Amino acid sequence: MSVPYSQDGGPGGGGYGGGGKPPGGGSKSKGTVGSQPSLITSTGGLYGYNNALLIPYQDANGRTYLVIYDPANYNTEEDCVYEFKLEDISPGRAIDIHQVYFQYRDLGLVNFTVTVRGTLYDRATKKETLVSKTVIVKWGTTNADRKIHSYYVDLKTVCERPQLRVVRKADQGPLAIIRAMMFGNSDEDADL
Amino acid sequence: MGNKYFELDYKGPWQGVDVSMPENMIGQSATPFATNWIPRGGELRTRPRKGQFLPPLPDRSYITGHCAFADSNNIVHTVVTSSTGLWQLNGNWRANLSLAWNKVGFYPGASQGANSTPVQFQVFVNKIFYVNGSSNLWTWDGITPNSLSSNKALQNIAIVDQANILSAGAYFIGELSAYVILLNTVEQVQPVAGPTKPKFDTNFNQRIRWSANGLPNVWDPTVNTGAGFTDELDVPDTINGFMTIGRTGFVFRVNGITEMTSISSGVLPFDFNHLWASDRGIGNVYPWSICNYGPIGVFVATDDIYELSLGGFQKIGGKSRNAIFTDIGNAVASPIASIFPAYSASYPYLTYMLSIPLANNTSKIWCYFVEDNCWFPWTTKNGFQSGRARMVPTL
Repeated sequence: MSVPYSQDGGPGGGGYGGGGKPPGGGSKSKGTVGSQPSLITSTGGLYGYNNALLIPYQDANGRTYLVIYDPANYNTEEDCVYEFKLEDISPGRAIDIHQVYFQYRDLGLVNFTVTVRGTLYDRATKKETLVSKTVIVKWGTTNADRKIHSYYVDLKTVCERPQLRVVRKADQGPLAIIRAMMFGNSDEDADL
Repeated sequence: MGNKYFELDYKGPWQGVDVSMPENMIGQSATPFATNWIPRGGELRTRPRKGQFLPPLPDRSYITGHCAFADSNNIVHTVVTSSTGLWQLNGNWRANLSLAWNKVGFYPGASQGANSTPVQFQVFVNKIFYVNGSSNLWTWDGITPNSLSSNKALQNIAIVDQANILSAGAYFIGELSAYVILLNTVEQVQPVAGPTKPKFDTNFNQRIRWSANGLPNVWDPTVNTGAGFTDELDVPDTINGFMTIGRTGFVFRVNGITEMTSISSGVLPFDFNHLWASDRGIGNVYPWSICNYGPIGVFVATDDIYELSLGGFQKIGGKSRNAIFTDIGNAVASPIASIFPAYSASYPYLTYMLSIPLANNTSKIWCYFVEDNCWFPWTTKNGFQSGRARMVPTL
């Protein structure tokens, strides 16, 4: 397939835009319309390929430049936090959480934390205390096989209204969660 | 302790942020709080990494927008506007990053860069036209400067009064039925008429101006009666956006929308129809929140975020609306929105992105993933978006 504008600056190149040379930095190089030398030529230019989503961005020092969100790289440079639904299995009662199960896609090595947090209510003092249990998780491979895998997090806690929370700190690897499950037991009697 | 076994299952399709109900009453696939995630094929992934793709401009000037167009030789140009002028991406930038940018032209006056105003582009007849809040309509055809022209100064092409040489620019630009349209104009005026008398820039924030039909260089109605203007004096507010869908233009104000329909190619080429009979109605609140892709347009109104398509208006803020508007309420500058069909050629995913600058050089970027009909917020800690996201060729 011919291209409208030669990148290498060599002669010829075929097509309606053969020949020519893209502009060098600060120069006034011109494109040529190879087969129609009498036409006015373009100044610089591109083939028109490799579309990228470019975003003007101003950094903390006031510099502006163009950035991309690289869809081939999920190793986010910022902290990523995801809180799942706060669960109300037996309202007013504490429950047991035994384990958390994840299905994930291996996009590469990743470090993050899994937390289950909730509250415990003391009927005698009418006070509520926060309960939180965190486990550090590391999964994935350097080769990133991109297959689906399972991972069990042994995380035992007793609380009311448990909530699963995932925190992946900045630059700690790409994370792809397909499914998460929380297992446990609830009591049918009032507790505490 | 307990004796009743349970399993709580969380899986896609992920519903995004839901603050419409208490967090113990939302859907199993919704989240009351999340930052920096993207749903991808039913998976919940940490969002794509942000990284610098191209170096700053050689003179470190402030980038206000970028666009691409094909010139009359069918050569594609990816251009960037800055506070000093117009630049284009060098075809062999990968070989030498320090030579990535070539200056196409510079603004002849120091105040014409309009530093912080995001530039609005319009491509028409193989040329690029843009406005930046000054009294100028800038253009480039991809041809000059060349051997026929060594002058690199950008030239304003909207002379609305040829006798006194008065120019016009605007904050917004569009094209409808082969007319280039300027909205919320900035025009030169004179206390005493005369081509050599002093001129002052004045903002006509209710004015809509159009060029002669198919002639984007002709703006003076005394030269060509096809050119003209109208002032929307019967509405209580000012123009803050424009989009076209099909053969209809939509002129946005804070409290309303005016339909602009092409009716002839004569002296009165357009019919203007305010959509709401009431004094106040759905309008656009933030000047740069409007954007459209194909038949879909999105804008932020006072009560919700709306999608405008051939089928009419639809609220899309959904269950995330209150969280989005809380962030909008904390904005330190006007939010900037973009809508784009893909993140790269191999990653199509129609997304509306509303970037909200917050204090301390941070920002919250609310992403509406059209395909999955859900919102997820992204964050930046060391800066913020200064222009619209746009897909452009880089090779």
